[in-house]
Amino acid sequence: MIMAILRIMISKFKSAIRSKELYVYIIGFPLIFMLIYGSFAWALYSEIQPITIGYLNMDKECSYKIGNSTYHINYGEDFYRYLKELRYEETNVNVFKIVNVSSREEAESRVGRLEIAAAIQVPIGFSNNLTRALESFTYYSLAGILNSRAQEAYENGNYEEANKYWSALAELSEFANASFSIRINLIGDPTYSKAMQAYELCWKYLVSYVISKSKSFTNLYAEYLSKKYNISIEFSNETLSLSIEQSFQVAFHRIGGGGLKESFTKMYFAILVPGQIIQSVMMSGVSVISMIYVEIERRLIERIKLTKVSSPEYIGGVLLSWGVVALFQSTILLLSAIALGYVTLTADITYYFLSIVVIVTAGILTASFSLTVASFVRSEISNAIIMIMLITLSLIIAGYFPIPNPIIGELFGVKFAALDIAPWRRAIIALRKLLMLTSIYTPIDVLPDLLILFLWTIIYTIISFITFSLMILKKRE
Amino acid sequence: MEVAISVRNVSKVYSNNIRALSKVSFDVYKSEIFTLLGPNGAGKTTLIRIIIGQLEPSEGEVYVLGVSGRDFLKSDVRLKVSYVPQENIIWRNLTVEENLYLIGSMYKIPRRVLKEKVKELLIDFELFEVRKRLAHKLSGGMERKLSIAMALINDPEILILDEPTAGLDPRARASMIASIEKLKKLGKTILLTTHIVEEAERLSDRVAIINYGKIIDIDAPSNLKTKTCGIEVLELLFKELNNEILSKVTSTIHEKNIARAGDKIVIKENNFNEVIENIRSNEYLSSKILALSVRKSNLEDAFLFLTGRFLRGE
Repeated sequence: MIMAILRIMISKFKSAIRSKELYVYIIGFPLIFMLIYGSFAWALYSEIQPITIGYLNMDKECSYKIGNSTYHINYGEDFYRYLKELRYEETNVNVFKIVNVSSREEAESRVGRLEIAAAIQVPIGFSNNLTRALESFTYYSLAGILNSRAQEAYENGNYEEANKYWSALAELSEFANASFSIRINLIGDPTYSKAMQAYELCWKYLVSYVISKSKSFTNLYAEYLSKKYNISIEFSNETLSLSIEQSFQVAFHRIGGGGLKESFTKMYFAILVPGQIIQSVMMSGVSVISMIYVEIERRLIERIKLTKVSSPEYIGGVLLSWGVVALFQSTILLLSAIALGYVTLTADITYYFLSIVVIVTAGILTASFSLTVASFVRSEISNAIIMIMLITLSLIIAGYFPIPNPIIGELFGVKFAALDIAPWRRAIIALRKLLMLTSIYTPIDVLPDLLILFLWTIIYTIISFITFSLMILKKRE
Repeated sequence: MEVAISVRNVSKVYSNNIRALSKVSFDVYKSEIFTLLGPNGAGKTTLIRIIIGQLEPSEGEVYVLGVSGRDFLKSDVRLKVSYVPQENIIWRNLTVEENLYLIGSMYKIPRRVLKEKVKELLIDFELFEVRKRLAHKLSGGMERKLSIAMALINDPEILILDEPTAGLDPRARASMIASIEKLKKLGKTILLTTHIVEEAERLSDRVAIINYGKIIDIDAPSNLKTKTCGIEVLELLFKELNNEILSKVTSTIHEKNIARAGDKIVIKENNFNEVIENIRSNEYLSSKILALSVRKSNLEDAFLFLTGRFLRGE
């Protein structure tokens, strides 16, 4: 069975890469778009200059206690100082030039006059929320360690030591159920490229700021527990993993009226490149449909039915071949993106390996979706139908525009959102983390996205298998 | 004689209420070439698709090597049947050789055996020189040969060829007919559909004349010709055949001995000299006639007299 699948896969792959249509649809177009976007944005990204942003701090100071010590903090002010000190890598050039603004109206007015690229508005409860977040992160960082040390001591008969760890764990548990949402607002014009650049940077630095605060807070609390209970807590800050998407929000507020009409194409590449790669993989659906219809129209499918090939072998071969096609096209696009300087290279090969897994899965997913459509639509307009479906879907999920995405469920701690039903979105998110935001995300952070991508791909594959078998391979008309 | 394919009272009505077949019955014997002869739209392809289990008959039943059409695709008998539809069954972006290897691997033929078989077919069908060429770069004739070579990869007992020479130039057509004759010598059972009489006459052991989904007659080609229109016929071709010409020519002939197809009149079983004399002596008819010949009857004539239609739709 495996040999049959492999032979079909190899033949389909050969067939696909010899098709001119494939190059036009899935490599030609994305490459041209990438070059156009790139040429627009190259100048923007190659010039290293501070971005002027406004800062409106509405945060209220809050306090928290660790043991007998009480700490007072205004994270809104602290975040201001953090942003002000940021430098571009290997330079002395500040990332931001920050201008204080006193009201939202002033911020909008200054954005409108191009005095600032955008304005950060820190909301009233920022400090309070961040404190809850840091407590929660601390709980998740330390609870496991304390529990395992307690178990270990208990199993070794060292009950006194075990009790100390359990007591520390009990005290830590007050942080267990903290609820929070770390949010800042960014006021700007989304058609203005610098606003979008500021938006991207705000995301990046808010995440890195919270991570750095989290590490400090966890260290402080670990030190406190060690002293109080006379225990040793060894943990690595590197293991700190944050579910960033669910914990953070940089809400983009469009200013009223607009008037700034710089090209929308000058969007940031962290959004653009992975979106383009997955879009091009999705566009391969057009070729999948074409090839399937050629096989149906030219009665190749009828001929195949007379052979020993079973439905799982045929469908498996088709799906795998499009996984390989996706890899082939993505390699070309990715190499182009790297050559154009859009992708930051990293030495860790895990990032690239996982990227390949994501892309191949997205290819299989696209082929499954296309096979399902091919099971029901049999006409000359099938290409147009699949193209309209996939282009619309790809634009919705690529994250170029803000679209509501409510959480609809949770399984083993992984939250499912409404847009997960179009699982290519998870592929894009995973690629953003793996290819563009390597300084922020570890490969482990990508696992929830991969899990959801796999689950949905399996579901889509099963659906395609059932529909294509029943409607095409086994049906007598 | 052993029956390879048995078609029993098969009718097919499509969902749009078009009746493609009506109570069709016949047997194809092992090692014979059986031809379904009929114009386009007569129901030949529908019948073949029912035989290979792709279409469900509205009524009736088909048996292939004793297996019912309902079970055909589930049974191993399907492996003994190969089918070449009107469209060439090839993967256009694969080379000639890759096409043969792919279809062979779908039959799970061991690699070593497959290698030998591919080589043999490439030589037999004169495709060896172009084995590395992509299929879509082949000429129509070569594509057709490849399609049939692929159908033989599993050494089938029964070969079903739907219009095997359709769209081929005369040279490629002659070569294809020669290939089919070779297959006949190998003892294959061949079910052929065509609307080309020369092909049906030359290749077939028996011919079934099919028209509007009904089998009109089944017999050996020579029997069909002689019993339907005798050994010779008189063919008259006019510039523009109208009712006046028709009545003048046929006034003395029984209408069952006359058939009209377009601007042509075919007359059978008559005193041809008398008819010719009649035309020559009539100034009006002489001015309208383009050609006149007494020739041997063929299946085209048989079809014309049996159905009142001209096979090639002229």
